[in-house]
Amino acid sequence: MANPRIQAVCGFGCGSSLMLRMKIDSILKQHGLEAFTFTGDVGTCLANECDVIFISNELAERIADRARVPIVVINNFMNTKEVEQKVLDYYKTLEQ
Amino acid sequence: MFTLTKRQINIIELMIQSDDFLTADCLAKKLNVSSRTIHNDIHTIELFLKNYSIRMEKTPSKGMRLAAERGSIEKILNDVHGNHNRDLDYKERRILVYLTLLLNEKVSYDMLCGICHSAKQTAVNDVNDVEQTMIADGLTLHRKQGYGLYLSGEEYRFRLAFEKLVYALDSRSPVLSEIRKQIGHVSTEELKAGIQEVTNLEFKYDAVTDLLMAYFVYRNSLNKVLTDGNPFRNYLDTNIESSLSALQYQEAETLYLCKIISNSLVSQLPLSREQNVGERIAGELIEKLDRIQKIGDKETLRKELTVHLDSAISRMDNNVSVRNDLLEEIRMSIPLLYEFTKKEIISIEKKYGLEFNENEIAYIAMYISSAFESSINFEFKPKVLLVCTFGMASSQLLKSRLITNLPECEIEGPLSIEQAKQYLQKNSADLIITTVLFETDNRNILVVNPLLSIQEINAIRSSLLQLSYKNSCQSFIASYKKEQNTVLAIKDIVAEENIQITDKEYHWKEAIQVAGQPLIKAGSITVSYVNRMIRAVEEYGPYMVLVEGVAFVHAGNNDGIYEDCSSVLVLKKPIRFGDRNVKKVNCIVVIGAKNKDDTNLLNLAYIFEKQKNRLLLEKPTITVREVLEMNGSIGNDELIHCDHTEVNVDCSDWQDAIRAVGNLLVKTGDIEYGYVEKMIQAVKDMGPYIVLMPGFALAHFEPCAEVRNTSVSLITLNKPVEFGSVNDPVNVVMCLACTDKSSHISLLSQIAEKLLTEGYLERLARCTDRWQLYQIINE
Repeated sequence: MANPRIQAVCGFGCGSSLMLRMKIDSILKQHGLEAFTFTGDVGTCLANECDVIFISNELAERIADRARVPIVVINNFMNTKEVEQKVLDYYKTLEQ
Repeated sequence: MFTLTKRQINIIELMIQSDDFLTADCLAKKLNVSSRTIHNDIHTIELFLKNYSIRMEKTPSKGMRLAAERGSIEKILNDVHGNHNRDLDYKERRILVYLTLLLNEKVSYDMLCGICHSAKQTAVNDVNDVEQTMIADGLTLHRKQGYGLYLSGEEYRFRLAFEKLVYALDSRSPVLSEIRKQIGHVSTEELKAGIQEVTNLEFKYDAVTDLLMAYFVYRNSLNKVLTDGNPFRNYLDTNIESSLSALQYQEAETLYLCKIISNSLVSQLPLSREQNVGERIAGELIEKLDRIQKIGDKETLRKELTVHLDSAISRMDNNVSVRNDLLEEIRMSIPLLYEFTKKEIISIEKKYGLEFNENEIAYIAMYISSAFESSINFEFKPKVLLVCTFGMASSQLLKSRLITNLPECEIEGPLSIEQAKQYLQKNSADLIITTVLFETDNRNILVVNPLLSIQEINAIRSSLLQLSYKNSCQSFIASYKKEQNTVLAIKDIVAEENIQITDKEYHWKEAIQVAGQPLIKAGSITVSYVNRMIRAVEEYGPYMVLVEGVAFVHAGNNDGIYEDCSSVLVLKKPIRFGDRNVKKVNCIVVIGAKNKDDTNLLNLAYIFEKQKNRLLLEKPTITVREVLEMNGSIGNDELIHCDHTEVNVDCSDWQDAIRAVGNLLVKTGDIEYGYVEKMIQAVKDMGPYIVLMPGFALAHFEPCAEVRNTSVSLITLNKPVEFGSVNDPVNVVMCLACTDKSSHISLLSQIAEKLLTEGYLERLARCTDRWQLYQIINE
């Protein structure tokens, strides 16, 4: 199976989403997982081709009903445990 | 024997070099004369060429060329070079025109034609060309119908111009004899005999000196007497000056005469060194300066410096001392450029076996400084904020007066006190002019009367001058150090026992005394050195505040100093420094420079210029150890600029917090205020997702026109605020502004890495002063 495309999303695709993406990258590396990660803004993220969207709690509801890919909600972008857990959970769904 | 003028020979040479036909117009252009003059010359050349049986080939549409064999051309060249009556080139001709006007009270174009052997159109052109120089020399040229041409201006202008022109000539130039002919009736013998009698010196008078003396006698005979001797005062040999006073000329005339003689003394003594040493030193100096600041007009500077250095070198070789009344003022008012010049001269002079004294160095520093100042970008447009609570009429009047008097400024206002306070939250101002008492932390405030008196305008001007001086100092220090490789710390320069920290509020004079105390104790300086430093500030104003908040004081090396030394006094409570144009300082640095190769001033100024160090000076708990450790490293890994941090900010809600953190970037011009509003609107639209982790919010918007530079600011809050997020409450807020979607990635990733460190955010939140915060962010 091809590497998943992970999109980290915030309001503008350049500030907090970047931080989230970096966080995800470091976790993937730690676990020897591979993926294509990139950032997006909440307005256009649904038009970007991807396999999963990582997004904050507040923004999630804005896209939840329209999204055609799984959405992972992150409360604390900087919390390694939370992000790690959610990334690994997502990879588990891929195995099924 | 048939002789050709220099120009005619030039024409022949040009014709030989060119295989093709040449037109008279083209020759006229090349030789800077009218084509009429060329035609006259060609006529003479044709007569001359008859001796060699060479014909000038003239074709109406093409021009002229020589019809000759190579062999016979070489013969012509040999002949003309061995034996010609030297004619004037363009430069000499203009000098002759100018000199003729300086010598005669009435000059006609015909007369100039006769003197210069040129056609009338050439004479007219020459006069026009030289008029600009006259204006620059302070003389006015009059063209009076039916009378002729004449010059008017102050007498010293005549003398200076005459002297300048004569010195510009080659000692063999025919212009000298031509000019001497024009004042042939004036005898200098009596004067020379008188000088010999009173000075007991045997002079050999060269043609130039003789001419200058003749001019002196001639002008005095016309009763055109100098009233102001100051323009001639600086290059004097004082011994000669006192002897000459026995000749009983007016004081100003004596000074002038003394200058002529001193110069002649120098020029007649043999030059033992190679000719172009002055030029080479000038070249090296300019190269050094150019690395710090690109020099606009290098060629002019090179010429001026070479002329000065040549005469300085011959003065030195012949032990002629110059007096420089300006030395003290130069050292005080342009200390950095003076130190720079001194340092560079010392590194250069040994190569040439020279040793410049301080007077000479100060002169050279003046050239260097003026070149530097005219070359730094004058993009600096001071922003002036006008605060006024009077009725519209008087405040508008005040504004229009300011606009007319200070065209170089950008004037904002008039604003009321309340408006001004709001304005200053979002904007910066270099100077605040107010008609009412107005309290802010901005150091540059001037209170004026709405009708704006002359004195007040002068005070504003002086304040602006100080601003631009500060700018040029900082730009010099900043670029100077880029050239240096070693990073020095205070401890490398100042001994621990010479550093003091006080929380007393001294008067500035007292503060200088306290600062100098350890050095007196150590026997490095005397009390009179300290008094001299105080007097220097009284006389020259607070020029010595080279870096914001830091005053560098020193006196001369004969004012009671035994060795190189320096001391530092840190004032926890800032004091007002100086009696005029007061500046606030929180640090006084005493520089004792005994040896001339001491560069402590430059090194210390560089260290204190660093913002991190100035911030440390503001820290209430600063220690001597911390002062000793201050260094000049640039800190490439500075993540957040210290101007972009603030601790314990009082904010009532999350919007307030975003404004506070955003305004730090607005103040430094990195973003416009519109960006702050957009950040707030974004949270309103999309919710508090910017609270990325408990206690921390990252305010930002997308790249847009309001962002000038990619930048980051950070504040800690006095009381946490609620964003309505699961991660509330927030007590650290960061603001991110980027110009595009990638320029900030590495910056942000470094910050993110820190934020992810366990306990990091708590450490930030606990900071009690900016210095601590800055340290933790950039550690």
